[in-house]
Amino acid sequence: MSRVSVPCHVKGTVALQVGDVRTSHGRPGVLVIDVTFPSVAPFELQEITFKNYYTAFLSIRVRQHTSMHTPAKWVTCLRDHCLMPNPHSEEGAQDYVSLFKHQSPSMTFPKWLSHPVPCEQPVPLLEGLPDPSRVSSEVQQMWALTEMIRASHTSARIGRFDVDGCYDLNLLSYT
Amino acid sequence: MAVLPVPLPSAKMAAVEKRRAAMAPAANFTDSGRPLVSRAAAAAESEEDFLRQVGVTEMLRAALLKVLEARPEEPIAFLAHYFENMGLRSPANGGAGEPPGQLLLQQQRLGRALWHLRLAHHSQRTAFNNNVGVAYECLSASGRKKKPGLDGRTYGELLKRICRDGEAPEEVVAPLLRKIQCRDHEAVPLDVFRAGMLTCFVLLEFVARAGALFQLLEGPAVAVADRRVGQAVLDTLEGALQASDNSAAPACYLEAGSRLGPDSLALAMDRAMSGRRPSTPMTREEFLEKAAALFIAKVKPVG
Repeated sequence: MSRVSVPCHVKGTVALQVGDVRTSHGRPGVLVIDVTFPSVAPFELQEITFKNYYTAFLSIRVRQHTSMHTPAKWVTCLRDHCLMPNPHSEEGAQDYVSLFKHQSPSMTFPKWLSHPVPCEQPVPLLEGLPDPSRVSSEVQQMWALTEMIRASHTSARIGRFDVDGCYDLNLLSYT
Repeated sequence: MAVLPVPLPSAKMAAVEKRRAAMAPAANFTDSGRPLVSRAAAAAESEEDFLRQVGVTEMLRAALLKVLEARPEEPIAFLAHYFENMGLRSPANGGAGEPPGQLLLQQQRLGRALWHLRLAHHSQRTAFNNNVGVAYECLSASGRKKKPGLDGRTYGELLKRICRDGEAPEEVVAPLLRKIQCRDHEAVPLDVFRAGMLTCFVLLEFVARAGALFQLLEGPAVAVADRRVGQAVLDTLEGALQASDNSAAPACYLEAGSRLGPDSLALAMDRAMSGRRPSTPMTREEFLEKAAALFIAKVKPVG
């Protein structure tokens, strides 16, 4: 079967950034490139080829039309595919990359992941109990304070030389 | 906070007036040949010099930095206390009779140290540590009869005072003091002092939280809580703390989060209430003591 390249229109990159793009000074780490296929005839995508330019990880999402009646769905073909083993090095920074169809993992997710079970009804509790969320908040704060103190023990010693609280000279000579 | 003696304002004002009178004629002396219009400039210059010479510029700068660090809710009162403390630091107390006795000096030192320690909350760790350092120096300063350094007796007095001012009942904090106090004659190094101060202030916050918790648990009209419920909550907290003993972070955080979440606490309380044991009351003091014991158990004793 011969391979035919599909004409596509690559739109400009859009930065994913919280806040106003104009006023914030940081350089965004995530860019989105939209690729559209102006030809209407359906096709099966086999391979994507491109030249990398300092992108470390790539995710590809595809909007699939499975049939005429169901609406199109976004499907993730590739998630965080590593193009550069070390983002701060040159390796892979300007490589030519080919991604094949068989590289994308199985599309089917376990049913429970896409349709989580709705929350169970809370067990009916006795009336007159204190508000559990407020109790929980106080107890959690108390836990956190205790943990902080447990973690911040000092290694400083006061320099005592006693044995069990006693400064008996005979005992001291054995330590 | 202890009331510190303040020098009478009139004596101080008189001193200031005298200074101003002395400066005015000096400003009027112009160099021969200088035009008259520069007299105003010279006066302005001399004012700035005057402020710098007496150290007011530096003092105000330090005061403003302190306000920024402490971010008090009432800055004016804060500044008033700050300058009050400054006045006491100078040995010449505006000409107020003979120098105060040793006991009074000790009380003053404790008061000043306490003031420093309260400037920043323990969670503002850098500011808190700075203030601990200043308090330590303040207490370690040598008096006429006192040798330099902080002794165990003063350290113990400070700890008791902090707990008393923090409105924590004595029986609640006594076990902590037994753990972290030093012997009267021992010299307390800065590290031990800092750890002790942090532990003390954190315990006070812990006790405050436990008090708030007790208020949630106590009955509608009575000042006591159902013992079964109170004990169940304390047992849950103890269980979460023990889980942290066995597993390392982050597993222990997940474990604690799941044990101390509202659902599992609600279940624990529900189970306690529906048990066959009859309901008996638990007082606030008992609850606080038991809660504090859980905290104090995790404190490393000094030694």
